[in-house]
Amino acid sequence: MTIILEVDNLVTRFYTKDGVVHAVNGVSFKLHEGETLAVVGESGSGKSVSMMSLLGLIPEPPGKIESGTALFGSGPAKRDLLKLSRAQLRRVRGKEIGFIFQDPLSSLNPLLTIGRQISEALVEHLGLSERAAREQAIALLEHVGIAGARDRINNYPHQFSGGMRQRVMIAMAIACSPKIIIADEPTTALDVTVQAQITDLMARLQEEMGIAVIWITHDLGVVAGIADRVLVMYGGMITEAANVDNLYKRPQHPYTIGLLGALPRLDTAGNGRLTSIEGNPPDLFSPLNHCPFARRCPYAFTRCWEEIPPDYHIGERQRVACFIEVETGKERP
Amino acid sequence: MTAKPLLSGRPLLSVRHLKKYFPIVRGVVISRTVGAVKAVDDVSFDIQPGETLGLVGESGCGKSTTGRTVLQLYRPTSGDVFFNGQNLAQMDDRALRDLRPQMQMIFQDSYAALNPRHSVGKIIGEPLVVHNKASGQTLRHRVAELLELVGLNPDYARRFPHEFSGGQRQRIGIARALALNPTFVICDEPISALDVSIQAQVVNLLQDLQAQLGLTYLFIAHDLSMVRHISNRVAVMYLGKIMELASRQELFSRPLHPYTQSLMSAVPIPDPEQERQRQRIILTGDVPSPANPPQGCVFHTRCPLAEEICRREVPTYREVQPGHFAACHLIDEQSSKAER
Repeated sequence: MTIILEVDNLVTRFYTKDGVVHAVNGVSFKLHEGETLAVVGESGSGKSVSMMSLLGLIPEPPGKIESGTALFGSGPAKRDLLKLSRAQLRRVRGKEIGFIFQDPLSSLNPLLTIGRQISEALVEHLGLSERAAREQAIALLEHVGIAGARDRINNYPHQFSGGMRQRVMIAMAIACSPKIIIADEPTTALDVTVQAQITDLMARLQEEMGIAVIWITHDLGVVAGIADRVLVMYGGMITEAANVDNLYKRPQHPYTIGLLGALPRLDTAGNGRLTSIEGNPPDLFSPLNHCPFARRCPYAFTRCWEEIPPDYHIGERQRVACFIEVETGKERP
Repeated sequence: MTAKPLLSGRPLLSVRHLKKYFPIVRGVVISRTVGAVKAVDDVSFDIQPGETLGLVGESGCGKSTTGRTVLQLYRPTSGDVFFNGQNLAQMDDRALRDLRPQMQMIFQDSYAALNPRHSVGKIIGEPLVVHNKASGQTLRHRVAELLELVGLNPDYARRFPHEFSGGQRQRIGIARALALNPTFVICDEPISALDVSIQAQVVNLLQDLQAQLGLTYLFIAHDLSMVRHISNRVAVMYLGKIMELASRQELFSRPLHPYTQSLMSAVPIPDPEQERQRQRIILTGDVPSPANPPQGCVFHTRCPLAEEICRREVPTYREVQPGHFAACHLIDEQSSKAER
């Protein structure tokens, strides 16, 4: 499959008055055409910051992208997102890369009708006339399952429920037929029955339009249902990357194993204790010069405190940044 | 219906026909009541000593209001709440104050619930001071003991809430709730704001404390998997009403109410293989407004099985099988038609 995004060694820091926040510490990954890549992590893991860095959505200052490349597209149209000017990035955003945020209410303009907000992108990026853009906006709203789109297009964001607002965001994201959609916790604020509607809708659209989706979430349940491949992040690093089946069946990183053990499951008895990961999330103020998980890791030994573990590849579909092979308890060769 | 207990054995808490309506007021100068939000609408359940009753539902279903009304933090519109046989709904504030040490609450947002200007020691010790239970050396001693109980360093008493992570702050909230040796604790979404790895820590702590201190919990949450993990029995709420209540085993293996069934089918399972095989019941639309709930069964607008009667008549909440309660016209007492 064609690779449409290749990120290499992305480093993003925030220079705050309290010190330097080491938010993203060398993130590398590839995104293939049409696939769903889930980025999983807890708060402060760097999952959102790394993806927002690609789109130039990090406030600079205090944020600063220190290094890295992000090759987007294929063939002669390939370019490094991190080297584009603001104006060039603006043309990529919304047109070639769409995005959906957790809280649609804060990303929609409360003073403009939904129709205006969708057509705006169509006029600007695709050069449609106002009238054509309006018709296209109605078609898009119908496509994402908003009943009575012709009337609803004149409504303001507050007149929609949470689930409907997220549908509007999705309509905006797909308006210009992007190659990639970056969805940052798109269902986290929604109730579980509405979440199921949204994940369903996304899957349908993706199949129809062949869009690649980067789905940022903390919910390993949602990931199991939507993802082709998964990146697990901790302390600003990708600690494990695998296709979805391998990740759940043969997790390799002690953090992934811990996370899966900490989840209660609806389909199992629910007796006994959850295996908790002791300790607290990492302190991002100190520069990363060892494994970020070492402090909470039951397998940690001296080396974990001395160097950052490199990526070890397990077959073609899995890589893990950990010195220890958990199954045997031995150091990896 | 009379106030007979719903289960054999003497319950610690019996809630009967509890209602909490919030008036909708229009007009600033001349205000008048134009309607009511029926946040809790005729809810009955029991909690046995030492058990955990899970109360689960989507946002706006009235689960938190139920918790607060049980503790009389909101006074009920009508209905009774018997705690150890005494009716809290009929008590004046003074009499309630004497009972309060026995009934405590843990909140979702530990940051909002802890006063940022008070040291952790002061926060945890405050209930003891207010109820004249301890002072001076005894107080400091008890605070240290409580901190240890919830797995925190006793030296933390001198620190302030902002110095702690979310999980640690929730531990502080738990220590404060336990200061007066309560028998009954309402946990209102105690882990919803926490990261997964920290959630497990707090849930394990709550379970340990229950075993150690013989606590009785009302565990309010929207996360069905977590409710299943921690509860002995589970009640499912929708638009101010309990749709179904049964033992954990019974509810999760044989859910009878169409709402419970669709709720369960919407919860993702962390297993890609299972996710691919699952047949989802996807409900259409959103939860209607509790200010203007549907006629008849409140769930009929989204129910995949709704019939004519569901639009007309409110289903009675009844014991369809021993210990298994549900409010649905389509559940046949014997054969459970709605079951799949």
